[in-house]
Amino acid sequence: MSRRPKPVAPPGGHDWGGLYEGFTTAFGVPGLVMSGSFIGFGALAASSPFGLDHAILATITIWALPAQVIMVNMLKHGTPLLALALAVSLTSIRLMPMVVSLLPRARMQETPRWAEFLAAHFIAVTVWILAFLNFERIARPRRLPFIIGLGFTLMAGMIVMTAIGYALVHTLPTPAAAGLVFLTPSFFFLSLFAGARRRSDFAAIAAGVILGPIALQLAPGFDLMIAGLVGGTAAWAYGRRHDGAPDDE
Amino acid sequence: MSDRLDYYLIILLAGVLPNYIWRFFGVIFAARLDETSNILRWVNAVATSLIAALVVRMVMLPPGALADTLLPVRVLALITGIAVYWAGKRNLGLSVAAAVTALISLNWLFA
Repeated sequence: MSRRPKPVAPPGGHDWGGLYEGFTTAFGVPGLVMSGSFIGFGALAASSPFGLDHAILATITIWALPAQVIMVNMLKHGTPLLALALAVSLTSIRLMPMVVSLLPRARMQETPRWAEFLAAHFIAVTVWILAFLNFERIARPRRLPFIIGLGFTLMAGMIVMTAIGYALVHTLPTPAAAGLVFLTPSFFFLSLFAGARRRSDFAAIAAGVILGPIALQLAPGFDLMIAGLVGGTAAWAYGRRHDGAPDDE
Repeated sequence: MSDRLDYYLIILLAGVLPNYIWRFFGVIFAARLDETSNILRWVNAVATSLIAALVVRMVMLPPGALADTLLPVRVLALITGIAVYWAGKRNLGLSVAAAVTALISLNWLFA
C-alpha cells in the first residue's frame, strides 16, 4: 500500500447531463452479458429457500453477483451466519480497489459526499469495466453522474432479469431450467479465465478448484473462506516469485 | 433460519454489511491506495480462488434443477466453455452460451 499526495480535484460541481450518457451506455454487450448472469441468479434463487422478494432485495442492496450467489448457495446448506458474512466479505474486498480506481477520476471539488457513496454502491464489475472504457471520452464533471446513471439503469434492468430468471425456472421443463441455473457457474468460471493475465491468476484459479472440495470435507460452511484465503495467498506468493514486481503491468 | 422474515435480516446482516463496507472504505481511501500494490494483488488472488471454489461447489452440490444432471455432464460442459473461449476470439458471452448449450445437449444425450 503506497501513499501518494492526495490529488486536488478540479474546481466546480457536476454536470448532471452525464446521467443520460450513463443511461445509454447501459444498452450494450456488457449489459447483455450481465442480463444473462442475473437471469441465472434469479434461476438460482428460485432453487433456494429465497422468495422472489428476497432475490430482488439482494440484487438492489448487495449489487455484487458473487456475494449474492454465495448467499443463495450457502443458505441452502444451513451455513452459520458468520461463515456466510466472512465469505461474502472476502469476495467483496475487491470492490474497494474498484471504487478507489474510479472515484479520484470522477471527483470534483464540490462533489457532495452522498453522491460519492451512492456512486460507490453502483460500482461492481460491469459498471467498473464500462466506466473504465468510457471515462476518457467523458468530460470530468459528467463522470460521477455517468456512473450513477449507468448504475441506476443497469440495476432497474437487473431487477427485471432477476424476476424473469426466477419465473422461468418454474415454467420451463427441467432440462432447460438446469441450463439456466448453470449460467451462473459457467459465467463465473469463464470470467475468471477472461480476467486472468499473469501466471499467478491461473494459479489462483487452480488452487481454488483443488482446495474447494478438500475444504468442503474438512470444514463445511467455512470451505469457501478457507479455499479463498489459503489458495489465494499461495497463488499471490507464487506470483511474487514468478510474475515480477507489481508495477510492471 | 427458516422464517421468511429472517431472510431479510440475513440479507442485510450477512450480505449487505460485509459487502458495502468495502465500497465505503473505497470512498474513504480513494486516492490513497495504489491499484497495482501488492496488497490489492493479494485481494484479487483471494477472490479468484474463492470464486473458483464456489464454482466447483456448485458443480459438486448442484442447486435446483441442475441436480437432475450428471456430474460428468456438468464438468464436460464447463470444459467445453473453456475450449470455446480459447479456440474462439476469447468471447465471454459466446463461451458461456457454449457451456450452457453443451450442458443441455449432453444431458439430453446421457439422460
